[in-house]
Amino acid sequence: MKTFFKNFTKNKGATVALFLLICFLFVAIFAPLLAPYSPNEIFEDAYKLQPMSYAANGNLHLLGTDDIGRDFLSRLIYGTRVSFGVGLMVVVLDLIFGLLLGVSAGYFGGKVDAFIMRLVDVIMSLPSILLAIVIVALLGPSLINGIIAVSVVALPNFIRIIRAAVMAEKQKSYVMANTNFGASHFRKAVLNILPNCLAPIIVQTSLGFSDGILNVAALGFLGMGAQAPTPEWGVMLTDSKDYLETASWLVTMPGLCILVLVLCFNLMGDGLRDALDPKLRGSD
Amino acid sequence: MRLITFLISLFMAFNLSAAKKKTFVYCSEASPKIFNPQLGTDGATFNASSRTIYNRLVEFKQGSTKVSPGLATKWTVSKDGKEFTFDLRKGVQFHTTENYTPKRTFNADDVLFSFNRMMDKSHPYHLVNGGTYEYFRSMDMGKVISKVEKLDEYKIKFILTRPEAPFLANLAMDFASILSAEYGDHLAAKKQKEKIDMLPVGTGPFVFKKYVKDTLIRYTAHVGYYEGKAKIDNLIFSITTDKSVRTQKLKAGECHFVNEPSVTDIASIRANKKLKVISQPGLNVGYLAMNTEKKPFDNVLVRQAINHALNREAYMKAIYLGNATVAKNPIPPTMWSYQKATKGYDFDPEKAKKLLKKAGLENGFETTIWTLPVSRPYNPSGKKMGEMMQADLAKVGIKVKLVTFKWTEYLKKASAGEHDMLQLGWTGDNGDPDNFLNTLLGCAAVKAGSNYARWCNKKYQFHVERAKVSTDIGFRSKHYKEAQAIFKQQVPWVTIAHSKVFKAMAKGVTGYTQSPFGSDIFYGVDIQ
Repeated sequence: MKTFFKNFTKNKGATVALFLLICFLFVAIFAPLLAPYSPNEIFEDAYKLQPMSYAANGNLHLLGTDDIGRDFLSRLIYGTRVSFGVGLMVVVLDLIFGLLLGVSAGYFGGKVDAFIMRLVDVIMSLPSILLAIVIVALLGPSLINGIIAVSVVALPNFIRIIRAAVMAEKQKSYVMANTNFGASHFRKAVLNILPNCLAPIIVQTSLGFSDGILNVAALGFLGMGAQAPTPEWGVMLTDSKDYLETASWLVTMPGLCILVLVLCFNLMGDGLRDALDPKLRGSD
Repeated sequence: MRLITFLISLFMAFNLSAAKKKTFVYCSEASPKIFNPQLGTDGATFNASSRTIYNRLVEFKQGSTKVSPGLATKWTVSKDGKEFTFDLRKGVQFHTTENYTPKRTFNADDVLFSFNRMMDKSHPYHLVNGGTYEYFRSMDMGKVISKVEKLDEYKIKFILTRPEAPFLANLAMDFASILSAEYGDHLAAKKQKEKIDMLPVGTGPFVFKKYVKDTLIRYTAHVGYYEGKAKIDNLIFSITTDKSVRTQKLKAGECHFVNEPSVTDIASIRANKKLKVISQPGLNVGYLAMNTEKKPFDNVLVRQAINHALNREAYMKAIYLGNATVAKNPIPPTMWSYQKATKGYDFDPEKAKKLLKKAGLENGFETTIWTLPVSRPYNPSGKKMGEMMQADLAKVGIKVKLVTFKWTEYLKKASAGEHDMLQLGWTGDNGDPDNFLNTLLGCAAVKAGSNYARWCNKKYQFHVERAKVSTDIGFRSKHYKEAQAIFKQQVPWVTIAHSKVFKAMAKGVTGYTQSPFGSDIFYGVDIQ
């Protein structure tokens, strides 16, 4: 653990990313305390106020208001919550099914493996965002359905990575020894092999987070994800794209938030991979 | 040497003539449903078909609601107001297209063909491409016209079942466009009837060339047009659904004219030296229809409560940016018979709650609002207005989910009455109050699908019908005012706004006249 931490902190980008992510998480958890107003409250006569301006009734709007008079900072803060929640749910769904299918495929091999992997091939042969749109179109547009769609789309990556790790581990002598001792499949697969595959899974989880957030935001942008008045960043982007010239902060802010959050997850994922991979660790 | 100079000068001449070809690009806002105005109800369809490809017996004078001669040069009305006889224009040419060359000019058979297609259920073309004729039906024309009679090649008579005041103006409307009977026979022989509405042939100023779905429509000027060839040679509709993209295209010089620029962009377009903006008060109304066939909107108390719950003044500022006034009647104030005495429903959530309690819904209810998927002068941003409505209604305990569809699907589903509450609007198209009060709220329109509140009130219907059979404006006004009072008491809609209509174009565009009906007509338009 100590070496891991030492290795991780060596990577400056990842450390900064981790710090920022902790800040985002803090904002997401304490959104109701941090947001100055309710995200859905409409202030009359305070439409498209500029950042750092006071409304006629003396309310301070730090990041201005949107086109129908809602405090923009509050919406961004609550948006953090939505995005984190979305990322988390996507990753949890993918982990559950990814582990189930990936471990079965890798451990049993043969027909089970062939069946699962052909299924994965089918999913991977379709462009991801298109597939997500089709799924949402079938289920009806809502945030939950968006999450389901994005999870399905991201699932193949999880299955493949877990399967590869399990297959590599399966060959090792300690597993064979267990087989000779007559250990059950469950014992071998879950208690022996799985803990040794954690490193790639952790990395994939962190990357899956960013993919999930990005894809759900994309669905929101296309009007197929979160529904009004949920303050979701992708939806906020599409809502304000008409004001690119007249009220640019309405477009830049949610865009920036998505960018920073996704970048942080990616940087952290990279850092984790470097720190967890024994081969890379040995090289320096 | 001489030969070379000759060749060069020939080449130059050719080059010059090529350069002189004028192409006008119009950035339109939506794809047409079909290229036949008989089957459409929306502006995108009309702009792409009736205002370019077709003509009517009588036409609205450009820029006004007055009726002037079109394919008919003159007409007489019988004393009882039940017979209209038209003298048809001679020598009017139909378009020659890739697949069709007309053998004769326009005559009475074409008029018969066009009207019988809509009226006569046994007409070979009646059921082609859906055969809905929404407009024709919602105006109850099938019952009004008893017969269309051909007196001779160039004389035609309409016999009505009852006197109908707005009849002449109705014939100038889009759905009354004249199709070619000969083309109909030609396609029928080839067993390609459905093509009549896809590869249209008309008499209008522009000839249809090509349509790429959701992308562009291409026309060329009709050289033999009876009023003379259009000043532009090619007309292109570049379909651009996103309004800010439309504005960007205009600024970049990719189009000469945009349909309905976003109100938020008006200031920046005005500031641009290469562009100009014109505006006029629109003959329109934006509204929220409540489906009175569904619970709880069958209850008048609920409808009144919703009228009180919505803060329409705020919408004027946030959505229309001050370019509209709150509507209290279904017809715009510039129209005769407008009921000035109507008292609007003030924004009063407390009163709304009381009304809901009286209706037995003090705990509120859950419902949906369909938000307008396109930008229209009467509602520039359906989604945003929906969000404001959602917030307003939440305050009185009504939980609203916002729903939307693609435009063509939206209209189709709404006509079938699948909605709870629905944002829509109307831009008048013949200048008569009947065009609003009967087309949008009459009983016949419920079945035809243009009465989105699906509201049929006997008393209201009585007044609207009485007003229709007279030509005495005073008498008609009286009945229309009564009808508006009943509307206001029953409120099948929340009337939202009457807005100003803007048109933006490149500085070099001349000869464009803004139509009170909101349509875009490019005959007579030129570019420098």
